[in-house]
Amino acid sequence: MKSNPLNKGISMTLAEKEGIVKGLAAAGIDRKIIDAVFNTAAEGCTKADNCAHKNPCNNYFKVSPEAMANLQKAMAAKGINPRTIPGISKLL
Amino acid sequence: MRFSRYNILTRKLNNGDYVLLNGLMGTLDIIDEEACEVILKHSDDECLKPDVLRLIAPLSGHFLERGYLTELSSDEEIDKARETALNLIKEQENNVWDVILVPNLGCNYRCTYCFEKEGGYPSLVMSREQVDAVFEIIKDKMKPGKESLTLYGGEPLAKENRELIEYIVDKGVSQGNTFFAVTNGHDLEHYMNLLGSDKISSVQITMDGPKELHDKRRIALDKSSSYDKILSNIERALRETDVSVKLRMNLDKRNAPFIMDFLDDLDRRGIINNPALFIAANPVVGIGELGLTHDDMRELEIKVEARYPQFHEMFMGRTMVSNEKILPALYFGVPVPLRVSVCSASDGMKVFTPDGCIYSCWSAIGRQEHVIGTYDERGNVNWDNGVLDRWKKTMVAFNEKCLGCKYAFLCAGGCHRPAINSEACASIYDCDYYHNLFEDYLARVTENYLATLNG
Repeated sequence: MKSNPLNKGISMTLAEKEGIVKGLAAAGIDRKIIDAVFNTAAEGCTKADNCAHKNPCNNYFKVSPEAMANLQKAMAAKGINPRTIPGISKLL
Repeated sequence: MRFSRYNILTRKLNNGDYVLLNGLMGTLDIIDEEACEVILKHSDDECLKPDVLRLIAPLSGHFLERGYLTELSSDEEIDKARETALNLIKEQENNVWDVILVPNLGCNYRCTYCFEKEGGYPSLVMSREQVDAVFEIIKDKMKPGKESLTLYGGEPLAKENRELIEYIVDKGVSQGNTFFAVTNGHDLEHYMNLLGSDKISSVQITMDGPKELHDKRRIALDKSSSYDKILSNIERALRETDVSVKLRMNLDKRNAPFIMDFLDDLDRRGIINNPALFIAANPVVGIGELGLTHDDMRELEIKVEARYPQFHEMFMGRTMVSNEKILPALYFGVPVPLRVSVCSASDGMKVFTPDGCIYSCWSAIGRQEHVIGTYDERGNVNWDNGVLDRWKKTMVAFNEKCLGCKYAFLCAGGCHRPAINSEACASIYDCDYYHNLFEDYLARVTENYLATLNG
């Protein structure tokens, strides 16, 4: 009997998020595409955590389906398996 | 100890394993057939017997930690779901609004399925004083940033509104906002210099199929072909500006069989692969037998993907919304997000209309029973706390039936628009998807992910 986790049970920290962003950028994904998914911070917001914006700035889930689709397309086009990117593989 | 009532199990994957998702924890595992069989066989047991506990002993610590097993009774688990939902609501109570401006209620189209039909398309337009008042009201409630203001109608980008829209956009931009506009695209040629990443950065335009069908459903008042006009405007916007165009298709049994002809036309025009063009198909709901079932939509999705592989798992609006939840978990290992509402209509959305009303949802425009407040040209606001509270209570935390459902935090109670219009068969649409198709979707995207993993 086996059960292998595919994800974490708790939210990612800011440092972990930054690791993913760095890893995807290093793998050649357009920064704009990455930022649309991970860096949703409002311009001028300096609060790393618990910011007062309606969609909290570091809430990586508050991405649009289009932003996620774009990232997905970009990764597929470059043949990138995101889990082999150091910032991501370290998470798991 | 028992298996969580929020466990979601997929069909068998092509590698023989299964996906297990806990809808209350957002945890996602791949399990083998033996584990799957035990979970399925004992999912309704209120207390697992010693022989079952012995069987799952190697995994029980892991299952408990991940929420697949619980010490709580079934009712206690629902209480926990309620508490989780209330905590999520508290976390998002930050008094920041999603603001929708409706500069006019009139429209240059008479679409066959329009929600404004009953209201008679009143030709009300916001005055500059009203615009100033709205900006004064929202100034401390807004986040600066991309597409933080939405333009909606009527038809906001009608040529008659050009000066007013420029006035609104200038005001928003000076405060660090850009706009998202829901438009029919008919007069878009008059707005080219207002389109772009720093002004109106994104537009949603609906096209309902190839020319003959589209023109019968989306009828321009001047009787011109709306299809030719809109597509030519989209092509121009993509060529001359860096605006994002979200092309929406409202599908039912009448136009779905011809959707490939439309995509072929986009292909011929050379825009189907434009990175600034996003295509999403959505079923028209609440139209009885003319409505597409989810199976119909899936069939269509498969057909489209066969001809246009670039739309793999990215053609149906519903699939894209699921991608948004599941793909970050698969690709980046983060938890599947738990949500208590599908949009901010239940708390932060404020829709300002030119008749001085404020609504929680743009689909409620014109319905007096949904007016959450009124405003005047001096910026005074009177809220109706009763209506505000009614909207807040559309969240999952306040819906006993939803709270006991394993999909509660994925579906988030579904869209409440159909309920506004009392559409007979629409309220079950979200339930139908999650209960009948979500698990297959989860299996498919996991298979895709595993294929990427294995090179």
